[in-house]
Parts: sequence; C-alpha cells; structure tokens
Amino acid sequence: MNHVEAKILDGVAFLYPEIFSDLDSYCEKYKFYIDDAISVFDREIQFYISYLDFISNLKEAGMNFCFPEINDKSKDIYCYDSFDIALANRLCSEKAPVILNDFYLKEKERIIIVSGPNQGGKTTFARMLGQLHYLSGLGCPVPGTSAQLFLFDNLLTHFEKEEDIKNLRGKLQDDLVRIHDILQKATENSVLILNEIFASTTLQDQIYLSKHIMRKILKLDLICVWVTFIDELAVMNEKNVSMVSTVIPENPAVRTCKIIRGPANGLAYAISIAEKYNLTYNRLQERLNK
Amino acid sequence: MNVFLLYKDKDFDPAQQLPWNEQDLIKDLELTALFNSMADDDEFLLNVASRTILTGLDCNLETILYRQEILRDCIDNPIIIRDLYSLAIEAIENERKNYWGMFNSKWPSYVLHRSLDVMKMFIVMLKKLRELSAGNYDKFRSEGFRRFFKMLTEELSDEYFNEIRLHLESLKFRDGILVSTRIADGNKGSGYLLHKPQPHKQGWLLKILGDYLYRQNLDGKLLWLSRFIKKDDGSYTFYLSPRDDSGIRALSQLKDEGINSVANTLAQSCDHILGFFKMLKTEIGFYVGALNLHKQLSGLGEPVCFPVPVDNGRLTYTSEELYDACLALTKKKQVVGNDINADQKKLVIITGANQGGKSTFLRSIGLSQMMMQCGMFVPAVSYSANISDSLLTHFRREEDTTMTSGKLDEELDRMNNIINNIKNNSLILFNESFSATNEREGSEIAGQIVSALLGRNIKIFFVTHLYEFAYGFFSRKKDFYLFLQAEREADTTRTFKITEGEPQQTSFGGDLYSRIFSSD
Repeated sequence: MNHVEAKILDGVAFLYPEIFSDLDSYCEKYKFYIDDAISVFDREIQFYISYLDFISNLKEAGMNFCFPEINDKSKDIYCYDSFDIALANRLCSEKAPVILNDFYLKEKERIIIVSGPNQGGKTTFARMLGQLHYLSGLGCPVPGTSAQLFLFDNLLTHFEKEEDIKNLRGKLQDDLVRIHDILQKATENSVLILNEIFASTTLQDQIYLSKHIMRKILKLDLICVWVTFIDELAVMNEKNVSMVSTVIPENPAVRTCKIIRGPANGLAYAISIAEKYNLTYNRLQERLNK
Repeated sequence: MNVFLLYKDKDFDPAQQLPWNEQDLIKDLELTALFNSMADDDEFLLNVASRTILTGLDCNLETILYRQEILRDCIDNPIIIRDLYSLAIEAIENERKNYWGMFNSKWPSYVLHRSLDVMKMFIVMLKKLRELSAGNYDKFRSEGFRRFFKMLTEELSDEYFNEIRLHLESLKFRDGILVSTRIADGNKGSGYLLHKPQPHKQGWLLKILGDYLYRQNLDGKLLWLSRFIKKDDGSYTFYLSPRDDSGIRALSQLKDEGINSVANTLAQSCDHILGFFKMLKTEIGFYVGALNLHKQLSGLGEPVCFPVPVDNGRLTYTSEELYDACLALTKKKQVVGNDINADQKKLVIITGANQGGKSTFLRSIGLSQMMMQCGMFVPAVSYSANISDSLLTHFRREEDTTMTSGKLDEELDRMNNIINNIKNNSLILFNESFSATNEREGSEIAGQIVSALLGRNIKIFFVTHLYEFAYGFFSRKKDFYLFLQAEREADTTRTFKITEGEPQQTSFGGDLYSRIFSSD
C-alpha cells in the first residue's frame, strides 16, 4: 500500500468507526491464539524431522539404521554393520563406498584397545563408537543393522590437540591435565573414548603413563575405547579386548579400514605411507639430487 | 627521489611473493605475537611487519647489514624516526582528504584545481621533511640514512621549491590561458596546446580567459568574455551572453582541451610525490615496528643484540641467552634463555624432559633466524648464524577435521610438500614429527628422512621423543651431530635450560603424572 492509498483508508476508517474498532478488538483478542502445546510441538518435532531427513539420504545410499536396545544395567553392548555417520555422509555424497564395522563387549569385557596400521580407520572406529552412544542416548536410530547400547551418564572423549602458546602448557602436560579432568568426571556408568593420548613423550613414558591410567579405568569398570600403538595395553587385563585395523596380507599398502578382533602384532605398516609420498631414503636421494 | 631504506638500491616491493609456507611459519613459530607487538595496534604496521619479516628470508648479507646499520640509528634516535613516520602519514592523509571523487576526475579543470591544492600541501610537507633531515643529519651514521638525508637536502633545495612555486603560480592562470591549435578537417581546431603565459605572437593563437573572468561591457551588464588575438596584436573579442548556457559549456570544453595535458602532468607529479610518501611510510614503518618491539622487550628486561650473519658456506650457529621473544611477549615477563654452540653442526637432536622447554627452544631458533634475516636485532645476548635460503617447519598438528586422512598421512603429506620446495641451503625445524605411529616405525621413517636431508647442505633441528631414532644417530658419533636435552633436576624441577646430553629412554612424563594426579 502506498502512502496515497493509506491516506484514503484512514478516511474510510474515520467514516465507519464501528467496523474498524471491531477489527481492532478482534486482533487484540486473538493475538495469542496459538495453543502452547501446538507451539511446543512445532518446535520439538523439528528435531525428529531433521534427523530423519538427514539419515534418509544415507538410507537411500543403502546404509542401514536401527533402533538400539538400550540397557542401563548390563554392560554387554554390540552393534553390527555400523559406520561413522559424519564420514559416511561425506562418502555417500561423493558416491564412495563406506566400510562397515562390527563390535561387541560381553560379560567382563569393558575396554576395546584398537591398534594396528596407520591410516587403517582406527580413529574413525573410535568416533563411530562415540556417535552410537551419543545418538542412542537421544533416542535416535543409530547406524547399523542391530545394536544394543549402554545408557551412559557421561560420554567423555580425549583427542589430540595442538600446542598453544597461550595456555603455556606442553603437549604432554596438556594431555595429562585433560585426562585428569575426564577421570574426575567419570563414573562406572560413563563411556570413555581415548585417541592416541600421550604421544608426546618417549615410548617408555607412554607405557608407564598408559598403564597408570589403565588401572584407574579398570577400577572404574566403565566402557572404554582406546586407540593406541602400545600393544601391551591389549593384554593387561581380562576386561580388555584387542581389536586391530587390517591390511591385505599380500599388499600391506592397501588398508581395508576393517577393524576386527585379533591380537596386536606391533606392525603399523607406516613405511608404506612414506613410500606413497616418496619419502623413503632412496626416493629422497633421487628427489633431493635433482 | 628514492627512499631506499630497506634495500641499498631498490624500493621495497609490497607485492613481493611471500614464502610458500608462510602460514606454517606463522603458526609454528607463533609469529602473530611478534607481528602484534611490532604493530602496536597500527594496522598498517602489522602488514608491514608481517611482510618484511616473511620476505626477509630472501635478503642477502649486504641487505641484512645495511638494515642493521639503519636500525641502530633508529634505536639511537627513536623520536626522529617516529616523527618521520607521522609526517609521511600526515602527507598521505591530507592527500586523501582532498579526494574529489571518480565522477569529477574526467574534467581537466577539476583535476588541475585539485592537483594545485594537493601540490601546495605536499610542498609544505616536503619542506618539513627537509627541515627534519637537515637538523638531524649529524646524529645518523648509517649509509642508508645519510644517503636519504643528503638526497633530501640536495633535491629539495630552495631553488627547487621556488621553481615549483612559480610553476604553480602560473598554473592558476590568473590572466587566462594561451592556447594554440591547428585547423584540421572541416575547419575544426585540433591538437590544442597550452603555451607558457608569454605573449609570443605566432600563428593563430587562441586565448581564452579562464576561470570565468567576466568584464563589464558598456551597457554595464556582466558578460562572459573571450578574445582572439591576431598576429599584429589587433584583437578580436567576442562576448557570450550570460544566459547562453550551451555557449558557456562549449567555452569551458575548449579550455579543458587546452589544459588537459597540463592537468594530467600535474596530477602525475602529485602521484609521484604521494608515491614517495607512501614508500617512506612503508619503509620507515618497518623500523618503527622494530622500535615498538625493542621498547616492549626492553620493558620486560629482556636483552636484544644485533646478530652476526655469516655467508661463507659454513654452517654457523652460536648464541648466548637465546630466548623465545614470542613467549616473553605472550607471558609479559622474562623467560629462560639458552646458550648454544652448534657451529659446523648439521643435525641437532633435542630430547629430554617433558614440559622442559623443548618446543620453546625450537621456536626461538626459528624466530631468531627470521629476525636476523630481515635485518632486525634478535632476542639474545649474542648471536651468529649462517644465512639460510629457506626456513621450513614441520610441527605436529591436530587430527584433520575433513576426515580425509590419518595423522601420519597428514604429516607425511606436509613433509612431501617441504621436499618439493626445499632449497639446498636451508634450515629445517622438526617438532615431534613422525610419532603418529608406533615407536619403531616412526623412528624408521624419521631416520630415513633425516639421513637423506643430511646429504644436502641443510641444517636440521629435531625435537623428538623417538628414542630409537635419537639413539640411532647418537651411536654413530659423528662430529656434525649435536645432542641436546631439556634439563630436569633431581627433584623433578624443570629449569627450561637446554644442555648437551645423550638421548634417554624417558622424558620424565612420570613427574607430570605425579604432579597432576597428586590430589587423587
């Protein structure tokens, strides 16, 4: 409405005051017509819709989702054909295949120690396990064909952070301070995810520190995934389960990204990644002498 | 007129390409703290500081010494240097205030008018600059400043200013302008040429009284006036009616054609002088930044010294009380310094106590090298090192968030980039590289890479916890290896001192564990 039309309407309202005052009071009366329940519903249903929207793309690409059984007593957990939902989202949009992984813990088993080759999907596996618990805690269907998961009170994670001159802490100290805070918060009902902690010291120190932390975790009796290169941890206790990332035996340079139960063999096949980047001594000689 | 305060024989190029790994250098050496300190909240200085420091790796020995001399003068005469900087800013600001908008820039009379104003302002500023230099010449010793001041005194002489004043005076065209033209196709004038305002009576000269001079005619009306002059000085005059708008427009167009090239020339002269002030602001800016840094470090009680750069093909590295300036600036207090004697050493491996100052030590090496190579003082009591053609850093990073690669893969990818770009005479700093795998394989990869690099003229500083790797080199007992370690006293105290020592199997991580978990 332009200002000329507005002026005319003002005149009309002046000539017919009853009709317009009725209109005014109607507006005033029904200003709050939306029922509280409806507006709350409108807001809350968005959560379900957006999650279903998100996973529908993955489902179309052939990925499976299931409602996990949630347990708050038994710490027996499992999930089959599961995957890292964030990574899968990217891979599906690139039409790349997604590797599926299974795991289970039963009876006394509490701690999954993940070791094995670099670039073998260990971090992805740890992330996946965290996502599964987090999503199940929200009541969402989770990646996989069938699952039973534990209702946790706290989901605690420790991934490597860069050194920061501002906090004036070295890397190892930073690691220790963070793990200390985590263990302060942890209870027997927590889920803990540790990804290559204590990398910033010598092997001997790493073993020493890891064993101390392991003892504390064992005492707490909580569910834990621990990605590490320290094979000793896998056999420290009957609660520990060793899982390893795998390579194709004939060609160790090819990672399968499958994480399976098996003994840690101390082989990381790291040199094959160095070969990929032409960073072995012989190749470097050629490159630097050019 | 050339400023030449950063290079002996050329201007600083603000568009000079930065090293390919500038982002890594800034991040790994925490250079932002240094840049901010130099800038002292001046955004322009921030830019100058980061560019001069990052491009400093391209400076040769002569340039480094040239700048050191100048910086010494600056430290002795900080007020004069800051005055020079303010003066350049003032000149540039004044010019900008006189901005007349893109729209008017195509009208020569506007251009001329504005340029006259700007030039007048520049003259005032140049005079100030000359006074500043003449009064202080004796206080400066460096070749750069003596040349600069001498140039100002010589080129900005009284005669020079006088001449400019006369030019500017005549360009005001108080008596109108004298323009010649040739008759071309269709009897139209072509090639309008402005003449010096002297009544040379040759050819057909068209004199148009500019600046809308008006004159009363016999009827007492105000009229626009224009006049043709003939060879015998008999003049044709015709008048435009004040209501003849199109006529007035046509007249000013003729005038514009006449003064077009003069206006352009004057505008170019202004740009030239503006360019001089801008270059002065930039080049002095570097030294102002250095002064800011100097002030802050001395305020903290930290020492600085002028380094002795070496360029004779020998690996040199000796320093006393070398400290990480960025750490001192961040903590705002004194930090521990270290003495190093690594002359003739190609490989320096640093091991030892966690939280013992290894990363800080490594950063101080990179930082002081960059500061030395851009011609600054360095954070140490004494310092000498050979000039490197490139400085490379390989520090551990966080897991990449794009989920494309694992940590080791990412590290090796960066290493691959380094090899692609490394120059023969380089300094490379490794900080806990290749430990994102198990100890044995990490040691193997690190060992192969370091061995290959040792075949070139490359100086390596490697902070590591990979015992197998460190001990492997230690047991070869070569003269050009040096093994340092972060000190830890028997009561577990960290002194943050780095001293010579054999690699050990432990980095005393247990100390930290006991301290952090002591309350449990």
